[in-house]
Amino acid sequence: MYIESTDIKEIVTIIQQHTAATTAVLFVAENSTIAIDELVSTLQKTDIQFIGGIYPKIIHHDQVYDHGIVVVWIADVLETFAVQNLNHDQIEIPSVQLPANKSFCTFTVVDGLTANISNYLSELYRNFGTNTTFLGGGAGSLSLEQQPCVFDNQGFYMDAAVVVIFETSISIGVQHGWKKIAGPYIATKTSNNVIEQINWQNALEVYKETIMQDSGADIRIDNFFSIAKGYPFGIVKENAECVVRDPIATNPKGELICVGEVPENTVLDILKGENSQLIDAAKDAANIAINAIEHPSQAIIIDCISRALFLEDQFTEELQKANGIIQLKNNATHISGALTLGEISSYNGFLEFFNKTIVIGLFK
Amino acid sequence: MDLSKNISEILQQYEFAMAIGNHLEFNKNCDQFLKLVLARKNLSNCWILKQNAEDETQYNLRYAYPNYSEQKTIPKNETLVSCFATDKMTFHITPTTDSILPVALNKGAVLFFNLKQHGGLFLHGAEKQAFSSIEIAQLSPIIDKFIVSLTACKSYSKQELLLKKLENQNKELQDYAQAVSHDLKSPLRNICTLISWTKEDASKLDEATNANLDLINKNIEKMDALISGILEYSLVDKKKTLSTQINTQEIVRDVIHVLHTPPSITFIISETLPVVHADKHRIQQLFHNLISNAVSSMDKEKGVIHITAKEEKQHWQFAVEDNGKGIEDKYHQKIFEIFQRIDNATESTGIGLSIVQKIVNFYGGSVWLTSEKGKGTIFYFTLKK
Repeated sequence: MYIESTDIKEIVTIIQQHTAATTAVLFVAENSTIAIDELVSTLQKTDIQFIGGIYPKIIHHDQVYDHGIVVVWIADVLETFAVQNLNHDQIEIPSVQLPANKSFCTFTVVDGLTANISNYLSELYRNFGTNTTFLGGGAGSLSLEQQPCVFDNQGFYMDAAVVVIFETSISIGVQHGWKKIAGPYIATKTSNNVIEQINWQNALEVYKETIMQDSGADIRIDNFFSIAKGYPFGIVKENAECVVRDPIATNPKGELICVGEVPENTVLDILKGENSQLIDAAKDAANIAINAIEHPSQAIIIDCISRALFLEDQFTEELQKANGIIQLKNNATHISGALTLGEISSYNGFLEFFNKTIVIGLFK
Repeated sequence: MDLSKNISEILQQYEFAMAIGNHLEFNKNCDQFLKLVLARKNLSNCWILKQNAEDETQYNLRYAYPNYSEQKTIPKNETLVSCFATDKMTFHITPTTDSILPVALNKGAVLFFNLKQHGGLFLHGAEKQAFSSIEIAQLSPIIDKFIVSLTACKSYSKQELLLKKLENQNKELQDYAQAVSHDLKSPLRNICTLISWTKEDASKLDEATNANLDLINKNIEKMDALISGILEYSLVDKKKTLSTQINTQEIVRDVIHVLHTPPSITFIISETLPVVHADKHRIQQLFHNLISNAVSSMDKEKGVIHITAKEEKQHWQFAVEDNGKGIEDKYHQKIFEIFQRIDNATESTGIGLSIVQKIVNFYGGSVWLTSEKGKGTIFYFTLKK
């Protein structure tokens, strides 16, 4: 459901009408004129169970919104919890027993601008592993200024994640469509999400040389984002699409700041995107998800904001095509989601934090 | 041949190799390497089993990622026996093989590597149809390196255990020495008081009794010195230190002043005594013990004690030389041991030189002596610059 109203009382009433025995997952657009902290504190005073996040943009069916709230209602919830202090090494994930004979989804909203997201996902996987399918995305502002952006019944947090675990049949499709143009390289010196050296040389120098060869563009601090958004890194994985890392800024030292961690000695490629390939990838993700489930009734699309920035006007096409495929199977499927700062999924195995990727989750 | 793919595979080996042995703690070492293998190879689970040393029918779960299982042991079964009989093997999960798993899994392929003394490693890909022979061959040398790192972890944990044990024993000893010293000193003080009360009524005591009381007092003083010595010895390398620039010439002069030596003994203090960086109290104690030792060894009418120092490359070498009785060769090592003293030195507690050695060792130096019976002794010690 998409709620356009900016009146908090009205929003709460609408949500309240639907929440019998369910948990509401709220996708809030960052440019909404609603006082989000007031909305959260008003919701906390009701009996509505909820988790949510603030995202650069939100998705409802094939439309992207800068304002408003998209709400997804989830039934058969086993547990909801928040994990705080993600920027510290030691984090605590509550123990939840997931019966092996049932199928679960763990949906998580994480502060997309916190440090150590990989550590959080690693601990989440350590606790729940293959007993559940993971899906989620990074919340936060497109300005990249970190502020409280995830919430639940207990609080409104920064450097935190909120989680809802529920029983459901689920299928996932994850694709990005970015193709290798150079590599492999080794990220020989890194610190969390900052690449300091590539192949034992200044990271920017190596990156710049490749971009120059491909596009003729001279990449600098002031034009970095506008060029780099078309040349992400890919962390090489065996027999699978690489995991994309988005370099979003550089600094006078020539270090490359990415969304998401790049561990030291990671093997990297430099990738390039063509609009048509990215849109095809979105269709592939939808097809993979749709072919792995019977009678889906709910879809959550977690699509990277930087795909929208890269595709510009053609981004609507990506969303329309993915929607078309999902609704072809069942035109009553509710499609909701957000444009995020990083995407989360355990598609085909290990739980990963992606960039510039579309993740589609379908539920019965 | 796809050259780029080959280079990628080689670099992947490099990435795996660089993730091994970055931690000496078993779980952290496993975590860093095995989580990377799972991520890059898109696998779902891994675990390490080792046969229980006391119960041959059980395998202990030493490590698992993910690790949500309550199960910490797995009963011996045919699949496990056949795995551990090989160096490596791969197989599909079937209803008969799922008994080797710490968590419920019903599909995928497993790759086993024998980690020898450390057990066996199982890698599981839920979506994996099979592990290819090339994949296994690529991982084999990496796993060999991992085994070496696990051996290092084992040695480290043994060393940590020993250190912890030693620390505890040291603490116990220190507590014991302090408790004993305190408990022994208190009755001594009481005896002293009782003797002085008894002596206040000296008119009622005969001369022999008075002499015996003096003797008791003397022995009490000796015992008090011995207990203080034990306490000092046990604390010498454990007390908090405050290292500052110490002028050893001033220290030596202060010590001589405090000692109240007989006028028949002349001290010659070299002008070259240096400034050292150390704890003042310790250096005072060091010179005090050596100089008082020299004073008490004096048997000549005119005693002379030289205190000198010379500069070496890495350290200062100090010497305390006397023209006293000298020490026989057989005692040259022994006198530094606690409670060891020269046969005729009844006044000595046998602790002073042990404290000297402990202080010098604390500062990374050494102490030794040269001596000639009847002519005198030179004690040398070094302190790092």
